[in-house]
Amino acid sequence: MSRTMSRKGSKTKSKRSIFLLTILSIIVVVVAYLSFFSFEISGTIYDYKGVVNTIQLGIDLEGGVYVVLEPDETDVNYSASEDNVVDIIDATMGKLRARLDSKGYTEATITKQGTNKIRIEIPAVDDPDEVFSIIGSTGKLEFRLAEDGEAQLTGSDVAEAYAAYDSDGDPIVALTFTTEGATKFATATGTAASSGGSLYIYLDDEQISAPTVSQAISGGKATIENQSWTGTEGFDAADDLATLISSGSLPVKFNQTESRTISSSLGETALSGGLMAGAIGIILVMLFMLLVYKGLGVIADYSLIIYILLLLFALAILPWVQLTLAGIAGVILGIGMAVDANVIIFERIKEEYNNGKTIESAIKIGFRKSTMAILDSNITTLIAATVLWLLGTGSVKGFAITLFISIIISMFTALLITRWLIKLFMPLIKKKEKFLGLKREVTENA
Amino acid sequence: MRKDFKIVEKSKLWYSISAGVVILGLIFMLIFSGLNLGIDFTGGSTIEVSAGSYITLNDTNKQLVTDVCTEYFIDNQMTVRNIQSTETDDIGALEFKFQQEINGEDVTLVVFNEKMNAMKIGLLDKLNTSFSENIEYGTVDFTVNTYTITSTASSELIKNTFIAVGVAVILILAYIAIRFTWASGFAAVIALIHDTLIMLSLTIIFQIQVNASFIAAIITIIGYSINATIIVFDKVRENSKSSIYADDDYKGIMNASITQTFNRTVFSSITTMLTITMLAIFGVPAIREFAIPIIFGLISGTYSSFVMSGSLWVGFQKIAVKARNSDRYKAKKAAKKREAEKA
Repeated sequence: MSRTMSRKGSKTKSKRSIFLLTILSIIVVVVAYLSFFSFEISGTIYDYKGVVNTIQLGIDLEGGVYVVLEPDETDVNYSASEDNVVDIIDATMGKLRARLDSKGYTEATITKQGTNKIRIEIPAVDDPDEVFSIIGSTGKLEFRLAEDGEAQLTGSDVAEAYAAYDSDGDPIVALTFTTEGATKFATATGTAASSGGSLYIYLDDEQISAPTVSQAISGGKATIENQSWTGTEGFDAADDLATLISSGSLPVKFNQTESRTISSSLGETALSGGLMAGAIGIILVMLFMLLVYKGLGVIADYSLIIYILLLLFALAILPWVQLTLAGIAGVILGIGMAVDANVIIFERIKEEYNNGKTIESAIKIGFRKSTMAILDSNITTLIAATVLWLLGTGSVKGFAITLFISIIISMFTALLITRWLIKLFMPLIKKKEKFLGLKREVTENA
Repeated sequence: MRKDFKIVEKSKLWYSISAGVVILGLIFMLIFSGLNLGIDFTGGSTIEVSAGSYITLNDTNKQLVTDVCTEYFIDNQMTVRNIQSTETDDIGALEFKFQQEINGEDVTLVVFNEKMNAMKIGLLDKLNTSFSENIEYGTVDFTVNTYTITSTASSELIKNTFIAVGVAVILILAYIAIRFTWASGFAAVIALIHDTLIMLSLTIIFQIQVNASFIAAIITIIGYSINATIIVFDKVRENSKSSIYADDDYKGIMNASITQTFNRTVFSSITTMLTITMLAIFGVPAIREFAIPIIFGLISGTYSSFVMSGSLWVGFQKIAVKARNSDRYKAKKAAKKREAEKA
């Protein structure tokens, strides 16, 4: 009686398993398709973008420029007090943002690196030189009465600056002063006119214009001309200057301590090399698991696929994650390590079975006893990844973040998904020992 | 009979092998005068010249590119320190590394960047003229990429590196101290130092270039090596409580634990090795110089958790037992007992 009941029970169990496994497989296939492929949504103007394509790539994969800036400590306005440094960095970051935005580099990321550095990353840049000149300029605008005289007005007295053409068709920068600036400008031009001299306009201590002044100019409007500005190129130069003036001068001079340009073709080579390594690595790991663990290997491979999909999803949706070259290394290293948790569990199951347990209880005990070992062994790597995440910069940080995410997801898939998959597979298998690659060795102490 | 590996018995052999590699590393260190430091650590610039798909960087072309570039750099008072070439299927690239010295003086990056941009254009011009004579079809499409880091920024990087390694080691130690006995902790830490040393030695011997990513490699291996050791010690802890091993001494328990965890240690190392080796094969140079030290570390980590840390652990346990059996320890214990009785 009890035998027939258990047979009946196992039949419904196996039906349930087939049902759940089919559903799961359909989900996995659909999710995999949605991850890797992009397509047009028919009947609408919208395109579906595969998850993989929404992963934000770092500039080392996409091509671009990065620059690290540090305040010049010899600048008179610089003081090393912490508040001052924080103010300087914050103000500068805002101004650089404005400059880059106005030049169309809206994809630029500007971040603080350490306590006193600014890191600017701009993807897909055609002309790195332009970027260097935009961010490299202090933007210190001064109106002087003599070539090495004191500043009568500065950039902060200017309310508005824009590029325009004068009546001769030459590019100019048109300035509107603030109320205070207008008064200062009237005084300065008055002095200049009475002494029969010029007004000297300096940008970053370099003379850009020296108009002769015949009378005091009130009304708070002025223009800057430069003889070297001609044609469209001249207009662009005038526009650059207008941008610099309107986004204000930086509080102190900044030096570049690090800079890199990466052409998109170089990025592509790096990306395709990384993807190739990843794909072949995954296939080899899967084959290895099949070879060593047979049926359990199938389960491990299944859960590795789920792991990869979860990982891609995490990389795509976590806003602070950017996939860099080093990040790919983290992911690929993580895949190798992800299998580790499965290995620990499977070895434990084999051992328990070898010690005389039934298959069911060997699996149960195997999972229970390996949980602690898996946590222990992953926590040290997590500690290492966290330290690199917090203390590292640039590529080291990128590596740490993906390694960290990989380990977390791998623990999740090994302890929950693999266990669930084994539970689902078990009722379907007739020759369980063979499927699981289990062997009971007769040993004296077993 | 259990068929355990006789690992601990051969501890002298294991120690000798490791010492041998480290000594070899030291010898090579003298020969090469240290690690092959990249510009992340020395400060300086890299100019990378990639030939487009129309030019295969065969030896003749490579020599031509090198000559053109070297001449150009000399004209601009730059000292080329190192030339490295990369070849993937369709793109060949040559990397020129040099210190940012112009007229013998270390110049700031701002000046350098200004020069660099002008130089880039000049260099491209020169390359294209030199090559257009040799190209029968298509266009010459060289690209030039630059990377510059000042020596102040790189010394800060070195400082941060030491901080990161220090913090990582302390945190991992704290974790082991909480989870395991002091003997395990010591053994694990020595194994960890061992792995770092072996990794350094092999990196010196093979003259792999060391950049910021090397630190990431070291810390990764520290985390990884210790996790392999932990698996063994976890087993030791379990076996120590088991009645099966009641008659075994430390050596026996350790040998049994190593044997039982052997599959796991080896299989995990193999899977990680498979993926990281693919990176070393298919990756660009920046990735390769990260992947290769990791491979060294993996080999050392597997070796150390398999034969070194166990032997060390048994050694430490013996010292502990000796200390416990010493007359002084006994006298102390007796004194404590007497005091306790008095109270």
